[in-house]
Amino acid sequence: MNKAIATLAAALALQSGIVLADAYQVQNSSPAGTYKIDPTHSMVQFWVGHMGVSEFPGRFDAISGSFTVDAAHQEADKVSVEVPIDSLDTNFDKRNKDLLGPDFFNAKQFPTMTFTSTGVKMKNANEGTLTGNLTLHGVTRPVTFSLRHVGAGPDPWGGYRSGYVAKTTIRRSDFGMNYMLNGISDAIEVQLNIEGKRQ
Amino acid sequence: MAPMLLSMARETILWPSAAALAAMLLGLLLRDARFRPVVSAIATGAGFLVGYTLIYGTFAFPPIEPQGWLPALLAVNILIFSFDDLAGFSPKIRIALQGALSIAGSALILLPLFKTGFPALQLALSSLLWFGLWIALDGRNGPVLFPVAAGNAIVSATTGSTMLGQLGGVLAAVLGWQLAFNFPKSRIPLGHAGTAVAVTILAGLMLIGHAYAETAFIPSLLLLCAIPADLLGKHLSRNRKSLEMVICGALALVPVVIASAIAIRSYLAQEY
Repeated sequence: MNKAIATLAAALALQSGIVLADAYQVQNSSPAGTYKIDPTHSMVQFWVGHMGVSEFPGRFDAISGSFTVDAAHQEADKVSVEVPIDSLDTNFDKRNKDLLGPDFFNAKQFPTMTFTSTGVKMKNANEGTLTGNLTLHGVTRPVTFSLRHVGAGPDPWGGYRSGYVAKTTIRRSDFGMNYMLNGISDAIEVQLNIEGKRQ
Repeated sequence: MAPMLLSMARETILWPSAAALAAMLLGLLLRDARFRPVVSAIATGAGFLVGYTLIYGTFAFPPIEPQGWLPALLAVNILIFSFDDLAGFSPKIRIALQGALSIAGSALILLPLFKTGFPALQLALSSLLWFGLWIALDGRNGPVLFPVAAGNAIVSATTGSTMLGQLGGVLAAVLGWQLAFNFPKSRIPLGHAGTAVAVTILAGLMLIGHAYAETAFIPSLLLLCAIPADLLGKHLSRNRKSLEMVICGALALVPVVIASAIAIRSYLAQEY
């Protein structure tokens, strides 16, 4: 009898433990405001086709910039991002060197990649498109990202944060990166994960 | 062979060789031998441009990147030094032009770096090396140029940039045919124009490799050590032309093989 009571008590304790620990949840407060990009919670990632057999990822670890969101005046929304090219990492030093050299990014000549928005169109509270000019490898081209607002709300340090995920596919040849198109795909998927701290 | 490797071989060797060979075979039909050095320059330039188009494929003026200046530099060199081969400049004018073009070529290639400061030392050194290479090899028929170009292709591809290595390979392929055409008997000599084209490509690629691709320094320096082989070979052969070419080529191969071995070893340490 005592054993049965002890088992029941243990089960209840476990159950209550699960209930007491709050689950992760998205904050749905208003994203309105001007934000400075938090580089430690933001990143640019890309995927590129390799020799027709795989899709290989890479990332840029450093990022800076800001964004302004005003749901009432969407035309005032703006995003500005700057990425140092030498923050590239593909998990292999030799490949990083190849990519940063004149074959691809030519980081000595073009040390930064920038994006400046020209328009944001939200079709609902969380999804929309972000249009702007991407400057990469010394060439500026218009690019449209699909945009998803992840959440917004207070952080534990008295600040206020908001975050977005933007995705697009660019063609590297549009930016003058034409080398080895037969071995490394022209189309590159790009994903921008941004978290900003309201100013 | 992997399709990508086959494609690279076609871009680097097959099509540039075909273009250069076609031009040189046409040159053999010329009755007036004075035009043959001009044909040699056109063949070298055409072969390189075919490879450049297939490998890099970007033509813009002004060029976006340093390698984009190579076609324009080739055209200027062919024009000026073809006139030299046909009409004959005085040595002083020729040297002055070679000096000016060495400085201009270096400056154009280093131009993007001027945004962050004036690379005075780099500009002075590269102009000097470019000019020195040109003076040492002017009018020679490639027993030294070919191995140095081949070595530069290997060193660039393994320690710097695959693309620059491929472009270096194009130059080596074209100069290889040029050498074959002129051994043992000189048929389509490089002349001043042909040397101008070959040196401009070689010096330009080496400079781009060092300024933008961090190509290994020691193997490149060893490649330059092959240049005096020309003078030494000339001295040892006692004016016997075909022997001179063999001795020059063999002497030049020593530092080139060492440089290539160092570069390949360093590459294999980080194999894909």
